Amino acid sequence: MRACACSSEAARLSSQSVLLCPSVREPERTSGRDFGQIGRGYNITTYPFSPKKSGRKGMAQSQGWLRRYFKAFCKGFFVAVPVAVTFLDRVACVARVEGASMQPSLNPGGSQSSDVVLLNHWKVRNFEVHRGDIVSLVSPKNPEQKIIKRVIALEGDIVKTIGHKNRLVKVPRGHMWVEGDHHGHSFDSNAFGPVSLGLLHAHATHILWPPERWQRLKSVLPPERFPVPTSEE
Amino acid sequence: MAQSQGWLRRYFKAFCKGFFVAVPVAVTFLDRVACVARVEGASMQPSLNPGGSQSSDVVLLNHWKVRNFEVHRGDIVSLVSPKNPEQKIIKRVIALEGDIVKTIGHKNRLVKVPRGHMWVEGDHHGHSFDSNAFGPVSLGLLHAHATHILWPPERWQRLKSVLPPERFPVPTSEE
Repeated sequence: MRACACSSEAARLSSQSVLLCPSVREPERTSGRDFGQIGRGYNITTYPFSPKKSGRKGMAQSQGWLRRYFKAFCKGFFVAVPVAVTFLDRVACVARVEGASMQPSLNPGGSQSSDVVLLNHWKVRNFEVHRGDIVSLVSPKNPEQKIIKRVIALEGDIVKTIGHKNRLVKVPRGHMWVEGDHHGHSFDSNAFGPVSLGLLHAHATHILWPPERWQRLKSVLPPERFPVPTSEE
Repeated sequence: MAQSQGWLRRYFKAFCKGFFVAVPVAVTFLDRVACVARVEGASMQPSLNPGGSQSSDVVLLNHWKVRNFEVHRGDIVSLVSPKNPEQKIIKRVIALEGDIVKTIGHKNRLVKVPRGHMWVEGDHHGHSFDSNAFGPVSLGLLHAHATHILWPPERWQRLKSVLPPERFPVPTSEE
């Protein structure tokens, strides 16, 4: 902070407590960026009163740039993150499929190449699933893991189980029976029983990767897995 | 006329900006941090809704606390009903995975809680649709941890995480 005597303008402004020596000054500049220019009529604009903003154009500009960048970053972050999170949680997201429980529908190549599927949350927002849909759900035994299986039966159906302790199981209200396509290599309802619809996560509708496996996943129920007709009870 | 149209257009733009920003921000907050809910029913009396249908308690539901599915015995939690996924129920956590529970009115007298599951009960035994009816529930159905009663004002309190002594799990040495 030093008074500058290099121009008459600076001398007039020397009563200000903070003043940096202007290196370049056009005397006719009255854009309001000078200090203490109140009372100059139409030239009144901002009154930054900042010791940094004057003269030393390089330094003032770089700091102003940083501050603007920071503000834009904060605005983007606190807006973009909730918007993105809401979209990925409620509309759709993608996920890589691991494991062989859904072969040959998913991951036929085994560990060499994992399929990437499109998970559609919007379709299951009212817990509406159909027999044959490939769905992702929260694992009943480990809530931090999602598993992907095919819906075999809905509430009220009677299922002929494969490897379950009971040979026939009636699916309770609000539950569904899921199985992997690769019977015997799948941790599914044959192991943990019917699962509550509340654990439903999303409906897998398409394979997005690898490109040679681009397809819409069909919602088919293998004929041998149809529910037992209730007349046969 | 130009001015009035300009005003309308600016208003519309501000509305859109607010809507498409404010809604996801609010939704994310209410889904992942906390929200409030009114408690219906008598299954948690006398802890919640002691006045019955005259006045329902409003509780603060804390999602953030259960984001890693960390619950403790005695917590009052809200969860998705296993029988009806569109309904949330509020109960107390009695036992966690591995515990053996002495059931009340369940088909089996003793139940071991499987991995990734919990046993919940309402405080008002006999008037509660809880694990004694539908068995252990998967932790994946956990919705939130009810931490405070916010309304009515005379019932402002922090909900205590206590397990009634008669509901303690069976010590595993007694198997």
